[in-house]
Amino acid sequence: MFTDEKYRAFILRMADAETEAAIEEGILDGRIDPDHLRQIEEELIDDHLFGLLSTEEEPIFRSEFLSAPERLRKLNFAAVLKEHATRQTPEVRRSTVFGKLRGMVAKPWLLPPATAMICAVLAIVWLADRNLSLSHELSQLTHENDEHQRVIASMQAEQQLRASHSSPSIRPTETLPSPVAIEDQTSIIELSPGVNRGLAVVPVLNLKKRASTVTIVLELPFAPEATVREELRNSNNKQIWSQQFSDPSGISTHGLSTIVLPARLFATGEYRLRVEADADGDEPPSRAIYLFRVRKD
Amino acid sequence: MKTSAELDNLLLWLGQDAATGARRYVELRRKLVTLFAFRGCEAAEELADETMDRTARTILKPGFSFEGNPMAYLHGVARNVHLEYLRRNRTVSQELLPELADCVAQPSSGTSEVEQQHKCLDQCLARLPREKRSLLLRYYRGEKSAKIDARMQLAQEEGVEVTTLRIQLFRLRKSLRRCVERCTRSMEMEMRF
Repeated sequence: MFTDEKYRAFILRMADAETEAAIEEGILDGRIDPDHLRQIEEELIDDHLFGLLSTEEEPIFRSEFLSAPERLRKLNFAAVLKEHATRQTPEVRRSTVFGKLRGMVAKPWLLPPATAMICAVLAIVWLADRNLSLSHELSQLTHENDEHQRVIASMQAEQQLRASHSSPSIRPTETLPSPVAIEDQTSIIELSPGVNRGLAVVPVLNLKKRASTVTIVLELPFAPEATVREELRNSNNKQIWSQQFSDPSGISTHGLSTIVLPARLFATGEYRLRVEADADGDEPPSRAIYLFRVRKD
Repeated sequence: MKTSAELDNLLLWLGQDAATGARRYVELRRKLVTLFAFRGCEAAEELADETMDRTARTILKPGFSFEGNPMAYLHGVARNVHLEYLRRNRTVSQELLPELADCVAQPSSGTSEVEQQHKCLDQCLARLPREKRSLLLRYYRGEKSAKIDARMQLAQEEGVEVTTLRIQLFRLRKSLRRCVERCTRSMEMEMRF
């Protein structure tokens, strides 16, 4: 409707006749808010106190504006307030995060670069965290891989040792120097086939600390005729060892088969050993499953 | 208004009936008081009444005719009343005003009245929320150069629009002034008794 400059001129009686009449009409018909005019009146008083009135405004302020006692009272109050403020020690103004954010919102041009910066920081933090977790995962996988490589190498060594003996009766265990030494170096368990759920019937292997190998003596319920496959799984159903013989001769002696494995393959827990032997012709393969538990000393 | 006939006639002229006219009378009188106050008139209430009285007398005269909003007619009467007021008062007090302005703008500390006001300001400022108190004091401390728009800078510091800040300061000043006036009145009464 009218600018604040026009209102100031009206209050100081510096407005032209047309503006004066229009503002008076606005006051009478309610189009102009009286509080807004009062606000401008008080700002004129403050400007006078701080020496901010123009050279035209100042003399009119003194001669015309202050003719109303109410305005004199307002000037008096503002002057006392100004003096009071000068007496006070300035408070330390803590800028809150909310205040700063409000400041940003008040300046719309700041929002896009501020948002872009925040997004960039968040992206960097996420990438750094992801990098850390991936590195950790990689090192874990590398460690596991190394462990597997060591186990495979030791199993290969065991197999080579076994393969070097042609007689089925000669098993790796028989080439070991003395019973006393065997007991120190190996833990032995004898297994019969069958899946028994009851805890009482599951054989337990007490794995000695000094044992470097585990000897598993299996009672085979069949005579292997063709390819034999042996597979060991842990309680998570993860295969931790397997082997296959295309020539089954020498595997079983008097219905028993012996497997020697590195002791470090085993942790405390349950294990399942499966032996499967192909039959000649169209016969289905023979299978035997053995359950046992390991308890490490 | 000298007679009730003048008043009744005025009310009927302002509204369709006496009741409507009475409501309109109160509303228009209030607006006239506001108008005269903004014109810097000391006796705004008397001038508003004078405007109403003159209108009431005029509309009773034979041959009076006016088409249009009664408010526009009252506006014209009010302008004449104001001009006469200015002529009456111009020679009396204008010379004193510049000195008065200086006296008021530099309150002499130490006078009991001023010290009362300071005490009351302490009490009333303490009732304000910390942020509002700080805003008001920073504004009146006038820490920035006088040539810089202090309101603009304060608005930036507060993170608000200048318009919002001006309204905040206006409302704070108004409530503080009322508080101080009540406080000084009660202190004066205590001193009397």
